[in-house]
Amino acid sequence: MIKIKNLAIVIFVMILSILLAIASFGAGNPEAYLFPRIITSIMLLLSLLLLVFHFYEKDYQTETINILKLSPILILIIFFIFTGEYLGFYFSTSIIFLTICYFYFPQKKDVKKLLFFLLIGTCFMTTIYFLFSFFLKVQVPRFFLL
Amino acid sequence: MEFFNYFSNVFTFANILILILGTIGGLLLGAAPGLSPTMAVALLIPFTFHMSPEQGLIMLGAVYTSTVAGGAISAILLKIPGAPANIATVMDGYPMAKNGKSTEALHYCFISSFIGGVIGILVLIFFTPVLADVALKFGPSHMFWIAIFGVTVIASLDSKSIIKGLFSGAIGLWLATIGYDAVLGVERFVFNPIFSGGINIIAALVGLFAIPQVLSMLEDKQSQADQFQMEKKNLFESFKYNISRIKALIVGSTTGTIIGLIPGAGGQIAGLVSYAQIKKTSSNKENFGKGEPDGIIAAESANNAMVGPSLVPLLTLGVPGSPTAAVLLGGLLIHGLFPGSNLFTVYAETTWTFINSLLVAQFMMLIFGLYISGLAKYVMKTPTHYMAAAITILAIFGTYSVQHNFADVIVMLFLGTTMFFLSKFGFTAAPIVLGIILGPIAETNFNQAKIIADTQNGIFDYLTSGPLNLTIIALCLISILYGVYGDKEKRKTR
Repeated sequence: MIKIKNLAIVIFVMILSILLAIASFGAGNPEAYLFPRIITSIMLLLSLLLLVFHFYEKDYQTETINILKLSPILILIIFFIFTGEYLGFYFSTSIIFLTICYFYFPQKKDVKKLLFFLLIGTCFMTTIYFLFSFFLKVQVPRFFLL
Repeated sequence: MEFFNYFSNVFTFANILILILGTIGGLLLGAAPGLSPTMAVALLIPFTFHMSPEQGLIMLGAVYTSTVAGGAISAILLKIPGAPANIATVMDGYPMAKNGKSTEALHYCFISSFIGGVIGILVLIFFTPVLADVALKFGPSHMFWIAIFGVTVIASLDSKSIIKGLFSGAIGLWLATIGYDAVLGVERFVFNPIFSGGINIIAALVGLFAIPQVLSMLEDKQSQADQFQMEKKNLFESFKYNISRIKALIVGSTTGTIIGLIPGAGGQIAGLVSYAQIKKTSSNKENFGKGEPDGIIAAESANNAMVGPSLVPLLTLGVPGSPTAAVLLGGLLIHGLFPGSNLFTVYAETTWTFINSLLVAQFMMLIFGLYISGLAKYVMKTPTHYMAAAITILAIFGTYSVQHNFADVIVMLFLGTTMFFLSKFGFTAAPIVLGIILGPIAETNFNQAKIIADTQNGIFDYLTSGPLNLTIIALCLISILYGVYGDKEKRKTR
């Protein structure tokens, strides 16, 4: 569990606004960057208002995020971003399916359960394969035969 | 009566098949707790990319209509609204099911959804061409303000805080500027080559609506409530009783229609307002919350009556009447259809076929809703881990299939994960999506206005002169002030 305070989000929003404003105002060609400059100025103003209201309203809201529970899916997302194109979509998404099913299954897990998830995953991925490769004719990145 | 000319277009074999599949799929998706109509439509948009514009829009329209109604199934049987639009349905639907009247409650739900839905679509049919003609008189400055109005109104109605809503809208508008500037051909904010094509609308839609849902599904321990058995109930009797509750039907349909016409409002507000209205005016107030059929009839007729009118500002001005309509706007744009009078002149056949299909979809929703609502119990029982895995994989394949570009998948996953963390603190996806969609419209019209204004008294004067500009600016300010008022009220109740 990690606790994130509202102030942390307000500061994140402020830093984001400042960075985007620097990117917009620091770029050449004022004509092309006029609209983004107006938008980032509004973002700066709104983030300042958020900061003012945070202290004015004493909005000390704290949100808890169950990062431990979310870590398998977050790791999977990062894994897919870096390897999806090389390992192929069918192979890497099959790993995603299996991992989500296994890690987030609320009851006791054993080899029998893992084989069951493998069966469900194979059926689901076969449907996806026929839907995308045959019906929609989408050629996704592949790895060996998958 | 132009819509009559294209009515037969709906009844081709392919279109009817799409309508049936869309309706059944939408009802089942709507019944699954956690799968909102907005997310269902967002996930489906990539698939429609491979269809003709007509067929794609028919599919999205059928899913939009039926997911709103399907959400009532889990609201009644599980006390978990399938969609935000069904929150009001829980109040009397679940007590009715608890009293052994779950089939009766589902009958009222689909019959009143049908009646409300048909009224809403008729409003869409008769109002849209009129408003589209008015839109013809709009110049660049008006269109710029209309785009800004779309963002401000959804920021104030779909957010927990007006400042956070407006900030989300501004992020969306900024994201839309990534990539090549259409007028000057300058590359902007391409920090990495994957952004050179800009942010793909579909990647943003799928990411912002589907991924946060997956992450919250996996984070929460969802306890499944008891599901009630369905009793046998004569359908004809339900029809007779439902029709006799004319007051609840009128209150629901009228409220839903009016709220649908207000940009950004959506089905949740329609359902809750009509429920409050019928409760206030009913002679048996004490029965509400204990299984009063009028509560279901008013709420369900309202949230489906909202569907048609929510498309009126969308098709004419590009300002969606609900978050799902905002996603539908993405569906229009990927088929090269831009809101405005062109839809009723150049693309009249596609537009009218789509609108007519929405009317037919109401009948399909009634028929299939009444007969397959029992099947939905299997979907409702689908374990969260299967649902999350399936949505993630569909989101990945769906996003990739639009442009065959892996960068879109990365953008989708990045935006979705960031949105999940931001949503914990009151930031919502709808204003960001609308900012991304309306951003190019706002910027193009702003640049055109600037070119015109340079020959006159300057951009500020050009954008703020004339009654129409002032009216739209006033509407923007009213929507922001409404958000400020809403925030103040929320603080009072805290």
